[in-house]
Amino acid sequence: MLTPEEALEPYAPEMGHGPWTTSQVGHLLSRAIGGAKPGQIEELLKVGAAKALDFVFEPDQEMLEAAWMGIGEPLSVDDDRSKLAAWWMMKMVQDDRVTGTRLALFWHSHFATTWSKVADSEKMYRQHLLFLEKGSGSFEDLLLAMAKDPALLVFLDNDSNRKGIPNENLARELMELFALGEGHYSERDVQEAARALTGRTVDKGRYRFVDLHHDEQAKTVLNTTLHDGDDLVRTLVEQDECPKFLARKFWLFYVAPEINDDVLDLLASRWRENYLDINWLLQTILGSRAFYAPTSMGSLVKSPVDYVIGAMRALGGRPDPRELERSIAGMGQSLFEPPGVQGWKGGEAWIHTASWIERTRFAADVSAGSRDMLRKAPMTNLFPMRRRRVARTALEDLLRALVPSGLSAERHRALLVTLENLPTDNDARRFQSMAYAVLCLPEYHMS
Amino acid sequence: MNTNRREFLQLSALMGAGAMFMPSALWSAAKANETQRRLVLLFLDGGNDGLNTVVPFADDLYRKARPKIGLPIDKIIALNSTIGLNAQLSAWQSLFDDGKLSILQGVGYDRPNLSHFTSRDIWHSGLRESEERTSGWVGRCFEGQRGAGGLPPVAMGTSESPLLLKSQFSDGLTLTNLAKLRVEQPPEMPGGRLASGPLARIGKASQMAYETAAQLRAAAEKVPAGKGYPDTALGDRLRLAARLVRAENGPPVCWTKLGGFDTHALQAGTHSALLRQLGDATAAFQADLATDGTDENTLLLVYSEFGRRVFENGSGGTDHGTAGPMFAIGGGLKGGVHGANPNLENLQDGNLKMHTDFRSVFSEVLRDWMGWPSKNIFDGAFSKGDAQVGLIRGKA
Repeated sequence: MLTPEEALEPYAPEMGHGPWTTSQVGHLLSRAIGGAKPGQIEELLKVGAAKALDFVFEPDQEMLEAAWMGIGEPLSVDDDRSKLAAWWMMKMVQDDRVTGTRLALFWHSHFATTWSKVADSEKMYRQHLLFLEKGSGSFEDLLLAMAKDPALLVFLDNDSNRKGIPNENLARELMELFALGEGHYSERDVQEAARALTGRTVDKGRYRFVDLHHDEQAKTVLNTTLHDGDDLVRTLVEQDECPKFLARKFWLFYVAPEINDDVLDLLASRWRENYLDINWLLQTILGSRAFYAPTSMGSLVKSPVDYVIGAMRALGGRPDPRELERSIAGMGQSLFEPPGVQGWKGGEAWIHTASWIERTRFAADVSAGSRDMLRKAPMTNLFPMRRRRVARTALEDLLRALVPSGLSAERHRALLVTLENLPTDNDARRFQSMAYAVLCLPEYHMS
Repeated sequence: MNTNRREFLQLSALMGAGAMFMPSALWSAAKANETQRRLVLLFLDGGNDGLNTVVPFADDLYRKARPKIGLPIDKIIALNSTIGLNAQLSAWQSLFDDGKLSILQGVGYDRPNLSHFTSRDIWHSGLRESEERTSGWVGRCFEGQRGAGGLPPVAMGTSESPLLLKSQFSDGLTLTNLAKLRVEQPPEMPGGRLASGPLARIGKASQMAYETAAQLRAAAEKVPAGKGYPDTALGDRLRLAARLVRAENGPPVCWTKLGGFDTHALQAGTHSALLRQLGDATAAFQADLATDGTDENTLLLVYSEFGRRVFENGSGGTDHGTAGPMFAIGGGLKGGVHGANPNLENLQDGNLKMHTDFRSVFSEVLRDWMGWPSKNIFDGAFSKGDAQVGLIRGKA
């Protein structure tokens, strides 16, 4: 068992902290950017742990820009939700940066705002851009900006929060869901905070502060006297609970389903010393010994987004974005339409009858190349024919791409026996069936 | 079935290879219960404004608290001299008159929590005292009953595994529509055991998905879809619920939800539309079931995580509140109004005080309706399982 200090120190295989194999590389790529693309595991295996971490923070920009080619700009104001969601999915399939489009997904689930209530593409798109722009800076700056974000203001009814007639919706969620967590404020704090946020409204799609509607009287929130919304945000961010609340959430998204209290305390206090810089937090946790601990590896259930983009990245596909969007929606994750202001619960809540059947359907379609899942690069082109013919080598290739941490020896054997006995002599079809089997392994649904 | 597809299906066995936690025989039909009592739960997600649903129109304080959104008398269907239904619930009037609708006033729980998520978890776990809410009251109770055969409880229209149906051993079943259940059960294959923990649970869930999905589809597709449902999301779900209710050895409990009740601003239009959808769909459900007497064995319960603030806010809406009415619809209940009407004078922080704990309602329903044990399902004083609200006909 690592001490909190050890848990957070940089993982250094050369110091005897543990191995650096395809398992560790695959783990980093899966958690940081949603999975490995062909060749990335081999490349990062050579450069070592520290440089691999650098890579996901500063990938080759030129390659990245080239990858964007052909995706196109997403938006005109009349684009619908599913079109923007499809575009976002494609970006995640391409993006190699930790702090890019997949971090935006973390923030989208944190500041969960729904298209159906905001009912305006432009506001939703601008919120998405805000996550890309400020999502890896200081949390205080992000929260200050979010408390003025038109989509969020509309979503939580602050556009009608006025002096004398306060509306508590934004005030409550700022404390409960965005900064502190339930139980760390009183109902009285909610009422006072609502007054501090009066006058923040939206005009022609942009943030506007209406003096006349702002309650000028002093408010007391968490024993602090304050006046306006910015004061309120700063007061919330100053609470001891704030870095703990956020750091825990990051840990659960990137590292493991649980965090030890002492590790959390240490992480939160160091994050505070680093001015709540989100980039620092991500560097620290994704490079930590705890991140590579056996109890962390393979411990998280893949969200629908991760399940789908992981397959697409690994198989090098250029799918029809709309099909990807339809798939994740069926599995229970509609981007820009989270189930409520608390975002997606995640973890094992992703897995239930209806979602499992949708995942299986997707796996079958990808393997068979139906629904245009891999139209630009059929999977059979990704693996050499001579290896595809032999069940053992084909399975090796598929597992290396999709389940880099591998299977237990017993499971591996059982799978191989089944695959060797497949009743077909058509090589291409056999390979499709094998890919299907691998995509449906419980191991592939975990990251 | 083409060859390709068959190979796939054989392979699917590997998804849960070796991890046979739940022998399919346990789920398969043993014998049908003669009475086949069914419970359908409908959750109004977001916190329904109880005071604008069952309106205390004779109370001056109601209009004082709600100068803008208070309902005028012509938008209310009086049930007696003091309260009336929001006129959008016009479809409920005849149900009420026929004794097929019960209104349970003042339902909530002690020390109300105004967070949607915590409050929802309290209702679904059935646990107020414990902060560890990892299973649901339906799941825990069903766990002791499943040996009787048939399908597990079903949740419709959820994107996440529902807490309500969870127990230590099972997550219940989720469903979007019958067509989506079109997967064949894979053959069992010997193979390596999955490590314990989440991996094993996923393996088990996948196995369950195949077995129960096929079973559910087979059972429900034999039942024709009912007629007369409104063309709304809730109408579709209740039409499906009616098929599940009629299915032989079908799920004993079906849960679904109607979202959008978090009406902080300009609530009049939103709330009206929601209540219209609620009333029309549930009345169609009752009418459908009544065509062959299935309504005598079916109880529909409607609830929300909390009510809303007595005083309207400045946005033409209402903020989070506490106690509110629950509703029950069916042919086997004692109709009418149960429990005292809301007291608008004696408030706590602008909120209504509850007088009936939700656990006493659910407790009675488990015991007197489903005939399931209600002991040690809920916590606090309700662990005894002897609470009584007098909802079920023919009982004390």
